[in-house]
Amino acid sequence: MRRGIPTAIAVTVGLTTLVGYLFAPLVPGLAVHLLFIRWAAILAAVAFLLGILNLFSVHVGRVAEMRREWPYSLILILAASLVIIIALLEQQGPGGRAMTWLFQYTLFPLEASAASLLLFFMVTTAYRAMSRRPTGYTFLFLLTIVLVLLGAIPFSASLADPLSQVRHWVVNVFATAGARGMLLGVALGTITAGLRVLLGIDRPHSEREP
Amino acid sequence: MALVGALIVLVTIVLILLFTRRIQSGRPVHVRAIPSLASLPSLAGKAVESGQTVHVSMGTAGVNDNRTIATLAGLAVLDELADKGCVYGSPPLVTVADPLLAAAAQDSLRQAFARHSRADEHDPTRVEMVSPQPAIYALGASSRLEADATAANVMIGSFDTEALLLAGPVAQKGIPQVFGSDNPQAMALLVAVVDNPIIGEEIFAAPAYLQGRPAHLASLAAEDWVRLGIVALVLLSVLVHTLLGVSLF
Repeated sequence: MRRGIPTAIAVTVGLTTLVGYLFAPLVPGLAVHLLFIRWAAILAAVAFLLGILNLFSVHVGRVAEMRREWPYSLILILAASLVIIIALLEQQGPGGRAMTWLFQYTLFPLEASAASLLLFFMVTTAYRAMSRRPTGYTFLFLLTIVLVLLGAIPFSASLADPLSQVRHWVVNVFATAGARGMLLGVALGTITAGLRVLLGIDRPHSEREP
Repeated sequence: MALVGALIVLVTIVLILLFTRRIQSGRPVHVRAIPSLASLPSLAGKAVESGQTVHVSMGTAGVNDNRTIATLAGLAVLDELADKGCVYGSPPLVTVADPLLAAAAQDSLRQAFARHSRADEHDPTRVEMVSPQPAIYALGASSRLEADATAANVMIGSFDTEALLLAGPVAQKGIPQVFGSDNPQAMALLVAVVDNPIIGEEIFAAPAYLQGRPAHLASLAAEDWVRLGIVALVLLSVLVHTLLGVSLF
């Protein structure tokens, strides 16, 4: 009973929203799902705040008990507090001058630096794949990479045109077909998994039995 | 198009209900083999035997966006690994990129300990929020694995290409990995470093493999039948367009 009522509410709201999305174009005025979406946005904001408070409580506990790697927790608490204080003082949300400066000169460079490492990881991955498991698929994988890369390099017209055509063919036929097939499967999986959640079979409405 | 969507959803619901009744009446349903999912329980066992831990990552999405379902698939895997790990006092190490997901993961571990009457052993710091930025998350989680003795790395959820920053170094150390994502670009990269990756929608089959409840198995079977129907429709559409020049969709 304790879990039954929240589950019933969640299932009713979820199914109503689904029906609203699917039949709104056919039934003018069927807009109750939009109301639920607005409520969900407010609830999500409150839940996010709770998530942040939970994060703070875990790290404050770690610092208080001087557990392993507690200095990192202290840095997290100080950095998060600083950003929150600046945002509150500025009262302009994430678009404020100080907040923009913070994002532009601390977060974005860090993120860009981390993302730039991806290229080197890709090269070492390809090398390792060849050295460890040189199967037919590995050769095909590398041949495709080389062909697509060569097709993108601006050689002279006599060499670039055929390579560009090969690249175009590989990307538009094989890669697109493969990606679409996978996306179609993901969409179907999302539908069935989503229905399990909406019907109360899966998380977050159901806890496992002992 | 909304009508087509409604039709697919209705057919899927009917098939799930039909297959659930069929399974409950004792008639078997064929479930395709996914070796990586089948290996998950043994990974937890090996970790316990070696005195090490299993690292679990549920992707860089949260639990309140359009990739939530993939994250929930990761949570289902965490439920299972937490259950196995808590029995032997070796709960998984979890890294997340979203504060809400951190709370959900802590709840998963708390429930696992409570189920085995060991609630007092629950340690919320086994779940670590690294960063909401995908690349920084991947690098942070990777360095976290360096610090802990890790027997296996399980990554199931919604990952972008940055997942390679985590899976690459783990593969170099020879640590067994299970990887599954709903993102084709991430799969294209990770297939080079992970043996038997879980491809695309197979991540949503995790609850069916790990918990085996009739509704889970039924949804997997329903998904396969709906897929067959869509493939047949695509082929029919191509045939009609080629022969008659008429587009069905």
